[in-house]
Amino acid sequence: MKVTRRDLLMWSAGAAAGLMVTPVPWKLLDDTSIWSQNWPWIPQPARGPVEVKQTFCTLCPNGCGMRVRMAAGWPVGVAGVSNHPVSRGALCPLGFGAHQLNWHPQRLTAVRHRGSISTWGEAQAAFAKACSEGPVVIIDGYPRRAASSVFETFVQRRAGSYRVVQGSETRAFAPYERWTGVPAAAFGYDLENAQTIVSFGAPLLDGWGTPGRFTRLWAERAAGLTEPQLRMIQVEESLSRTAARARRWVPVVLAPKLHSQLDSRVCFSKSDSYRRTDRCRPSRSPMLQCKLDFQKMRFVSLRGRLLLGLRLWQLRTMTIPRSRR
Amino acid sequence: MRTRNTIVFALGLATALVAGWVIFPRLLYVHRQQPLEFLHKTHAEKSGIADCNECHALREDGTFAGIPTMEKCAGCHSERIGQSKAEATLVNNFIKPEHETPWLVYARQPANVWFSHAIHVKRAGLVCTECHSTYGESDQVRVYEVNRISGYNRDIWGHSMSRLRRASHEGMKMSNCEDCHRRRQVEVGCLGCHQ
Repeated sequence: MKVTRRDLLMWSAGAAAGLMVTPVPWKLLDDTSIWSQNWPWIPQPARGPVEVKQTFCTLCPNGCGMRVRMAAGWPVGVAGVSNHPVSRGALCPLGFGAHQLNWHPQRLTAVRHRGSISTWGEAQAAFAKACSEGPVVIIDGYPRRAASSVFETFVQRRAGSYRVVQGSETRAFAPYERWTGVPAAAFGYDLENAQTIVSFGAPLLDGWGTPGRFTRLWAERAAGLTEPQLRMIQVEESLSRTAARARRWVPVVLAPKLHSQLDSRVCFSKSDSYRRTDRCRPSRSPMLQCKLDFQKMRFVSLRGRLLLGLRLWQLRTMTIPRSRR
Repeated sequence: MRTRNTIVFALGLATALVAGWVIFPRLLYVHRQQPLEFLHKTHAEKSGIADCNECHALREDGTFAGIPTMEKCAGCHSERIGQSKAEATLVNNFIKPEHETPWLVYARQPANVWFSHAIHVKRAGLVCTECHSTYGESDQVRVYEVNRISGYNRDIWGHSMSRLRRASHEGMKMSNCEDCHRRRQVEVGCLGCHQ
């Protein structure tokens, strides 16, 4: 009996239909997805003795408590510490993933000196030369990180000086510290027992303080509730994410001298009527504070207006293809 | 013509069914041998080890000992006490040279899975046979079938290729864990198992 092309097609159709009721396609799909997770270049945690160590996060100055599970000496899992006075068991997303920063694709994998790839020897020589030129002072704008301890140790050995830039919150508490004698660092927030929080621009839901703790508190006591147990009033100039989720947003307008230079430039490109208002009139003082040239900025704005006008004239006069209308 | 088409179609269907249900599983899994022939039943009868916890214990800090180390085996087998070839291999190749036995683990999960025996045994009160069947009473070493593509043991998928009407101890995929949690109405978030 001759096998025809039709026979081949019918046989294939039967086989395809039969294959759908076998585990072949589904099992292959499942197995290949698992296989794709185990390619050799994908980092895998080592297997070995498991131990748990308690430490604190150093990715920001808050120092949330962490419980790190380690396998064969490498951290493989991070959890909060429930009785930690600062974090109360919460961690922010960055803290939860801290142990994976070792494999971040943007991590430094080579020595860099002044932005270019260098060698340890060259970088060390340049660093030693720079340190020999005079006393070493390190001003740490982000204290209490992991790197901060390295800076402190270094200047101690060099008999140098280590200074920190106080955060805005600490600076804000400075007058109170002077008045009461209580160190600013000793202040804490009894958020768990608060019913109403009035925030003057503090990004409560955008990384303020101990983000994990406040976000969890918010989720438990306020988010999505018609009668929240925690009410937040956000006093802020813009409708930030925090303000959008607050019980009430109190918009405020900052004084003109606090406007940024960008706002001033926008004023130049507005209509004449808008430009004439006092609110939009730029004053020299903020620009002087920013060390900007008033005339240069005005020229930039004027140039911008000219360019815009030129472009508009071009659009009016050029032939627009039918397909783009 | 129609009859011929039907017959040819049915032939194709039958071929696919046989290939999918019979040939495919045999091709997919490759058998490996354990380094030793360990018999649970022999140890239970002769050594009086009746409880799984005697060798597969929870440590004081709550972590699970898993497969006992060579040190545990050396507690009885520091020298040969029987006549079996398996014991000779154990003593000569592993205990005396102080080499850990490279057991092939049937229930090995991916690295992103965090499973706590302490929570399931102590808090939930699950018995060993709920997930590990009656392997503790086996009188022969189970064949270790490893998936050629994924690299995991067949116990993870389950011996039934269709995964239908399986017993509670068959299968250790995420869906199996989810089913049991759903039946017992125990909710855990993602971080509960993927810490």
